[in-house]
Amino acid sequence: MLYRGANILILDEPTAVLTPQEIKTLFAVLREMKKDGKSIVIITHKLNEVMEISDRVAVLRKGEHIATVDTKDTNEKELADMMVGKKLDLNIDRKDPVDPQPRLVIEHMTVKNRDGLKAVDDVSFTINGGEILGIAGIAGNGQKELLEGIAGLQKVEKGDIIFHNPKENKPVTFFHKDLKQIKKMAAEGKFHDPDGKKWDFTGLSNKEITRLVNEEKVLFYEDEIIDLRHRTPREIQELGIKLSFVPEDRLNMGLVGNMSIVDNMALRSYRKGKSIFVNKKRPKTLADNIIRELEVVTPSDQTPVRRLSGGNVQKVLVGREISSSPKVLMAAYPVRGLDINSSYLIYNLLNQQKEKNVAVVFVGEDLDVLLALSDRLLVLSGGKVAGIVDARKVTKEEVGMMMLSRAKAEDAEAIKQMMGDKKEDNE
Amino acid sequence: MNTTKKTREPLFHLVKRTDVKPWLPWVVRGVTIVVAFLFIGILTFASLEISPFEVYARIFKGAFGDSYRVMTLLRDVAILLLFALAVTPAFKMKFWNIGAEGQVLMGAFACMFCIFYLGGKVNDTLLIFISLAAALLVGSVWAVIPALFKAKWNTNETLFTLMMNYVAIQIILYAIKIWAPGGTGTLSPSPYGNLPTIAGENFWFSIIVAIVMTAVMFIYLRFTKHGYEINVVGESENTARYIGINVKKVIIRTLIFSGLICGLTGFMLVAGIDHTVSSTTAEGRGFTAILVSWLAKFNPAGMIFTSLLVVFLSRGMDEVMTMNGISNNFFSKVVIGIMFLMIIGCEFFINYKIVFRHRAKSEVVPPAPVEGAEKTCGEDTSDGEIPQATTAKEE
Repeated sequence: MLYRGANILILDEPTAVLTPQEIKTLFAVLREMKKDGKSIVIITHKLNEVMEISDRVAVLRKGEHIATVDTKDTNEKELADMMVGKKLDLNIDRKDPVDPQPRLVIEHMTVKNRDGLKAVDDVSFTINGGEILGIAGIAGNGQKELLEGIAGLQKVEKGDIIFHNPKENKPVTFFHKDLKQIKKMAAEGKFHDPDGKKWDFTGLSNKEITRLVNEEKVLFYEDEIIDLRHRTPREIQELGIKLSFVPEDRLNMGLVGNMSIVDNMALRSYRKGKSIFVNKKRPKTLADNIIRELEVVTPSDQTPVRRLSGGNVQKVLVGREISSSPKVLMAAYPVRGLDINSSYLIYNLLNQQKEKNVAVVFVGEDLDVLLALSDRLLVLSGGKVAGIVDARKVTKEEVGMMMLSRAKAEDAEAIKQMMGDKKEDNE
Repeated sequence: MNTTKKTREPLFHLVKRTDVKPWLPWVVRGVTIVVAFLFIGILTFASLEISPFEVYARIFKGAFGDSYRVMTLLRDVAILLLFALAVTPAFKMKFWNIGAEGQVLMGAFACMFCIFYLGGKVNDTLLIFISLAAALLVGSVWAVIPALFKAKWNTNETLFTLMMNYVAIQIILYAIKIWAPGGTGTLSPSPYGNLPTIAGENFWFSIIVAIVMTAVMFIYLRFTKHGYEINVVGESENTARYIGINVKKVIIRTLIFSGLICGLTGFMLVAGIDHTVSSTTAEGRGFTAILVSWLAKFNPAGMIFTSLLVVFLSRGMDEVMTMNGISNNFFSKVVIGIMFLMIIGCEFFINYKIVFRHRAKSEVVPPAPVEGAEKTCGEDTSDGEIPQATTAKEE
């Protein structure tokens, strides 16, 4: 096109498949062309690119022209609001974790990739319940293998994955312990009431305590400790560890594109029951709930998932994974390819899960989001843990340095670009 | 996207249909079959100089001429249907089993083996059950061998099952050499171990078995957990692994099931109809069945119609040929080929519609050949589809 001397150039999402360096080069070329008096139309969903390259912006929403503004008179927030059509809250509401307890303890885990190289190399860390653990790193530094190793989809060469399975709250009985022991343990904060609040017996008479115990109001936790290594993916799932989303192609793993939303809901639950037939009633209720609550845009619950847009596919998948009340939820690049609105919906869902005391693992690309969403941030570099930091205190530059600690020098540029990006970088 | 400028616009362009109405595919297919019949009439007229109406009449007569013909037709439909049912679960799983021919032959061989060595020595009813069991066993073993290799070493199942066909044929040829040493190469029908006739006819059994198996297969694929797993494995092996389906187990289990039906088909052929076995017992129906199954989109209920169509055409065209003193069946194969090509081609028009240049006047513009499509098929199908394409809903 350029060779043929085009005067008007229209680019549709030109940066989707480019690396940050290539984008830089492309933009330089475009600026040159602008100087030569050519007209350039660039279509993109990355707001930072809009701000960087354009002179004027036309915002379209559902096929309608919303507005055309001069780039210098606007900002990303305003554009996002116009795109979505309502005031958008681009803040991630991060609550402090409440009493995080270890849920998953990874010890010296090593996973090899297909070529027999160590993709995850002697990694140790802890995932807590009620906390979001962000995983940062340049793509392909072991994130995929790490999650798949935990979920049992990849063979773990070495190391242990210790899962603390929180059992149902059980009431304390006098059968096992006498009043004195109970009072002592209560003082250590071992018991809680049915609402999850800690029992503190100070000020209560022995008689009242006895009554509470007899009424089964005094509950205690008991963790079941299980090593997940050598367990089948199915056993691991049944313990409540859910791996959601796959980076490159969601429809390749997790969902079946040609099956309806209802049938995709049945993927997790179809085995239940002794009947040889698949129960379609429960999946249907679930599908309808998800469509309603997550505002999935679809003609019906019988529509093949492949016909939905990326964001809606993601909602279906996340909705299903969350619906089975997981104890660990691992999400790899959950917002890749999604629009701003859907992205923030996903972030909020992850936060909700965290508040339900789920241990959430979030593998992301965008450092801004990782820092805003995570409680702790694990930085992977060359399959090793480069550091685990408090996401509230660390800066992007520090994380970038950690990501680079084992990476080759040529990747340095990519990191700089990543840190420069202010908003959604959806690849 | 279609801005109406006075500049050159292509005569027509293809638009993907966004909302496919449930009735639309059936209308398209129906129209295609009618067009295919027209084409067949013309072709026969051109090559044999029989008037098309004569051809249709003879086709119909050949297939439904008298009650005997009808019953034979139904029996052949039943057998072809059994073949198609046998390949379906594997195909649905995207396990390309093209060895139904060999699996049925081995079932037939096992059945005949029992009849040959036990015939007259044991009670005939018992013999039937023994030979049925043997046919089921050998049929499923023949099917599970490629499945085991696929699961264990990821071998190519298409080549594997294809080659197993030849092995099966050779085994039968060898057995016939031993069983019928006269050198004629044919084994005369055995009086033992034959299924009882119902109302004096031998086809009822096959028809009943086919009906029952169709229902079983329909329910199995659509409503059971096994059927659901087959579907998931076929659509996405990664997702199957992800949700904890043991893919290897499903492959092996499904092929055993497939092989059982093949064994049953072999048994029906020997004990119910032929009472003997030869290397051509299956008559290539193991391959025809693949098309029957595929055209019905792996839906057992739809296979009743597709197998009926195939048998109807084949018997009808045989009649046309006989009337003209042509003894071989090449022409009926040509005709079936045309029919299949057209039906496959018409799927395109279910997913796409043709939008013509002069849309404002919604009049039918003469058809243009569809580029790239198979010549006869594409041209004729588009011909039949035009009313379809232009009258299809446009806001």
